[in-house]
Amino acid sequence: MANKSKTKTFFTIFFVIIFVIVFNHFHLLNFIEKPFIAVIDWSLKPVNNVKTYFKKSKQVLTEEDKNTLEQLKQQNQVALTNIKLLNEENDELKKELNFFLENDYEHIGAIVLSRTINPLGTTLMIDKGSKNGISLDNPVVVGGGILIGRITKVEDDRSVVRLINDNSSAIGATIMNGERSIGLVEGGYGLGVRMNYIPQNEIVTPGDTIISSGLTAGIPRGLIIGNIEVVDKQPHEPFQQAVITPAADLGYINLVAVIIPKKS
Amino acid sequence: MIKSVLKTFFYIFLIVTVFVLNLYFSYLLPYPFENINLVIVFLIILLSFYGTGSIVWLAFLAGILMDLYSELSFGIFTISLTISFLLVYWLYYEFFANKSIWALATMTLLEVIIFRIFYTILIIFSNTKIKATLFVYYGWEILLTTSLSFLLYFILEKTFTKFRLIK
Repeated sequence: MANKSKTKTFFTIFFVIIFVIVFNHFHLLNFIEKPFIAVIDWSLKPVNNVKTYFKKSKQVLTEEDKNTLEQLKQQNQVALTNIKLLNEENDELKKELNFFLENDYEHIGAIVLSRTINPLGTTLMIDKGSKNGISLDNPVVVGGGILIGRITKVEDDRSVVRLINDNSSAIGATIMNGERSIGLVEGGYGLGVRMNYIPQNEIVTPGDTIISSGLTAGIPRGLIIGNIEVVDKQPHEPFQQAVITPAADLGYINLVAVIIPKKS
Repeated sequence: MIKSVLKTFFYIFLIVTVFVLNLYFSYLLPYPFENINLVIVFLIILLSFYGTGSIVWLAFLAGILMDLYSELSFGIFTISLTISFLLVYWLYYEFFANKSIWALATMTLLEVIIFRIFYTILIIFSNTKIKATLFVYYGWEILLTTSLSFLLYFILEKTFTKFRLIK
């Protein structure tokens, strides 16, 4: 009798699960799901403020930090001046060549709602979706041009971003060294980012900047990914590897911009 | 009838709240504490407290919420969580109904293990790439979730008479 009851319960649950999966596939449960999603998304809004608050309260600058900050400010000022000069020179050259550079991309700003629940990946949920023009594999940036990941799932009003430190993330990249070496930036369960398949004979040094190569579909060239921290070069292997420090702090992301192709 | 409906809504509200808290935990806590599964802790404590089969339906609802906040195929969390709680409920009914703190710890341990076994099988079937380091996460989840449920039950047991052990 007890076994009969267990079998009945099992089959009831089995059929309800099948029913929900099939109905969800055809978006027939949206009228139930949407109120839940709206309430949960609303409750998740303060999560970033809480995280930023804790981050700020942990930050205490030492004398050494202050000196480094001052040095960086000065270096930044020099770099900005150089950029300005180069921009002016660039503008002049463009005019001379009657060159018109068309920007084929536009940005969509979005707020990070939370991390997704899956322990397998390092992903974020943002509050913009297909209604805003976002589609699969669109690159996601912070600070105007620092690549943090790609869109991996899109719904009407929200999307999931797979961060570059996710184990499934793989992005074609270029090292800003003499040879402009190319390779593949891959993540490892949120614990780090590595650049693999760098040709063995090319010179790679810690501190080199890594940018997107433009060889991965949908990701324009020139988005900053990070800097090389350590180079792992084994003489018997055809490729060398490098550990990367991402340019953005992937644990503290509040606002992002999704790069989408410009509508014609 | 009305009491039963209100009770159902109350439990739905509770499971949504715990789910939101779980998202907060996974986003705010540093590694490895982000791996604590608060939903499992809550459901196991509820199972120890009431011993009702409704826990399986609550697990089903929690699974749906997890699927809505996951980039994996819809159904992976729903199936894993519901089936694992169904099995743990049967284990509770057969072996662990004495409301001992050790029974609760064993149930939590078994629940997380069964849940992750089903989850891993399903993600392999859905062609998701998995690496060996995933099992380090599972290890942390098992350890921390079991420890938290043990600790919470201990506090609750000391606080409320209803939770007192049956000697």
